Amino acid sequence: MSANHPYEEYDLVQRFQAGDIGAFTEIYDRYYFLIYQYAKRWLPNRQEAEDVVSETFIKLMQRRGQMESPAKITAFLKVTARNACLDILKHNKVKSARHADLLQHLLLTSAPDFSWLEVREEFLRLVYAEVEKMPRKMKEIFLLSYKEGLKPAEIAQRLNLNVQTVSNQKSNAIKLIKIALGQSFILFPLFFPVAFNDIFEILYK
Amino acid sequence: MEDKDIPGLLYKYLQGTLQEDEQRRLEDWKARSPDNASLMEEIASPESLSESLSEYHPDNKKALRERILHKILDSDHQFSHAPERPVMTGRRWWMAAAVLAAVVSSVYFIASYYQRPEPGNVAVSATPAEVLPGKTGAILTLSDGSQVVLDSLREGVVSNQNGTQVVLEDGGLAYNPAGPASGGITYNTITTPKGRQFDVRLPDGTRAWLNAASTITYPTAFHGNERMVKITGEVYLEVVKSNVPFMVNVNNKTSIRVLGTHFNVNAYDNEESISTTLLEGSVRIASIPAGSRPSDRETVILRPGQQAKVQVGSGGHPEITVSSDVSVEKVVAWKNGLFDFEGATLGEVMRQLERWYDIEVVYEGDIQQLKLTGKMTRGVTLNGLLKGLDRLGIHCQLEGRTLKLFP
Repeated sequence: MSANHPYEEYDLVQRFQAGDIGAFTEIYDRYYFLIYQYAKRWLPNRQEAEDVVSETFIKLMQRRGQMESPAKITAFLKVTARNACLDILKHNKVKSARHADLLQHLLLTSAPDFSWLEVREEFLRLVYAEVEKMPRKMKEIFLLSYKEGLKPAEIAQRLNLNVQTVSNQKSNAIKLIKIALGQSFILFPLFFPVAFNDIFEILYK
Repeated sequence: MEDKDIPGLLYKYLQGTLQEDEQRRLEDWKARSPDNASLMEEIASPESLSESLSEYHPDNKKALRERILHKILDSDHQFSHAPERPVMTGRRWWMAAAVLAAVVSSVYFIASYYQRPEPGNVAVSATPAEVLPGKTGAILTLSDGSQVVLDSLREGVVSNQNGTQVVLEDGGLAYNPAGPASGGITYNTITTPKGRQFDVRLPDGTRAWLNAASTITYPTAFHGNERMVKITGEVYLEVVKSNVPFMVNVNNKTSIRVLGTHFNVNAYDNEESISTTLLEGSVRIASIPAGSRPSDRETVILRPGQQAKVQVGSGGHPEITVSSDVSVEKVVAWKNGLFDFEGATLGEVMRQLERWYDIEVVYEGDIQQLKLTGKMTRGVTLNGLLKGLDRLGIHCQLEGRTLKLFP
């Protein structure tokens, strides 16, 4: 991860070692989502993945005396996250075949590689950056459908829209991103059998 | 990140707009590891992509962040005594600052030449209400004199004036030409009170960031052979390049002429001079003499990294001094959500804090010349700050919004 922070890295590590909560939170903000993504890759459920993240950082705090450099912190987080995943899988392998299967898999991998996770996070960031550029109503529909997994009827109720139209929008929410880019905007009504006026009404409300 | 262009390519892959060479590049990347291949599968499947997007939804991600963070902090008593700071919102640069603000809850100063007293005798009086740091917000005064409060809660079209639409979005204001102008030139003013900062995109695309206690006055559309604005307080400007000169009138005392540059102007009344610091491009600075005798007018041209100070000299005429050894980063720290006190005196620091926390500082004893160093985010509450001062042996007492400092 890039470190374009006004704080010098060295200073950050020193403050962290001294027990500064601000420094800890800065480190946490850089890595929590990467580790969460990593844990999600190996563990069947969200709660388990969250537990891996919290456990990994608790251990980082406990060992802060040994964390003399940013590189040490990164290496420690990777190894600890992998071990935490292994522990959970081992613990559950008897109960669940899925856990046992993942355990076999994870044991075959060596140190975690975060580079694809950085790519994944950046990709997701790009999608949301494009959502920001969408016309207001479209953006609202997109965000609502992904925030709470709202059903079309619920979105319609909240945004005071016609259910049928929202349904078309929601089921094609992914494609809305394409439209936000300007590409095939005019073709949109041809692809989806919604009255032309409806679309414009929704997009530009 | 090693694969810098890959996220963009994946995005194009989702849209189906990859060029042939991009397609190849992505295939190469995909073949490099099973993880990469699985990421592409994930994007190709609407169900899994939906799940990922749901997790990355700003609100959900924030909730995730906080859930885990609290769990961690709850588990460790050594870390958990300091609460987290509230997150501020605003435009992108401000968001970046907000990350820091949320993060840094400790203040640290290092006195460069001050004796640390014995610990104990700490005189931070108990303050019933926390004095919170400033935030985004301003008042817009339209040409007819009517005023609109701009804060992050409201979004959308604020007003339509003379063919220009004024829109509040992401905590900032933007002017979009919406139709042909009719009638004469109309002027708008944005005012930030103490404890607020704000940014605005002018009709020509120029961006202006206002520090606390500042104003900018500008036409709702630029016509003619110059772009003229007036400012007071502290403003950072990123002027869009054009052949039409951009003129800044500062407190009616200094004028700055540019074509397209980035620069900061600090012209608070209680600072001893008007300081213009150039980051990019070039600017011409001229003093505006009180008695409008052209012979008294002084002009300098700045190079990037230089700072010009205009102040009234011994003869009562404005004088300009140029220095090249300024820290540009320090000058624009405020815009990036920081206070940078490197080499500043306590008096200088406190003038900044007065504007940001909307407080008044009084001194007991001769401590104003005390030199400080260190940085601090602008998201820290006043109490956090006072604790930092206390470590230096500067004792504080806060009564209402008056802060008394004594050695």
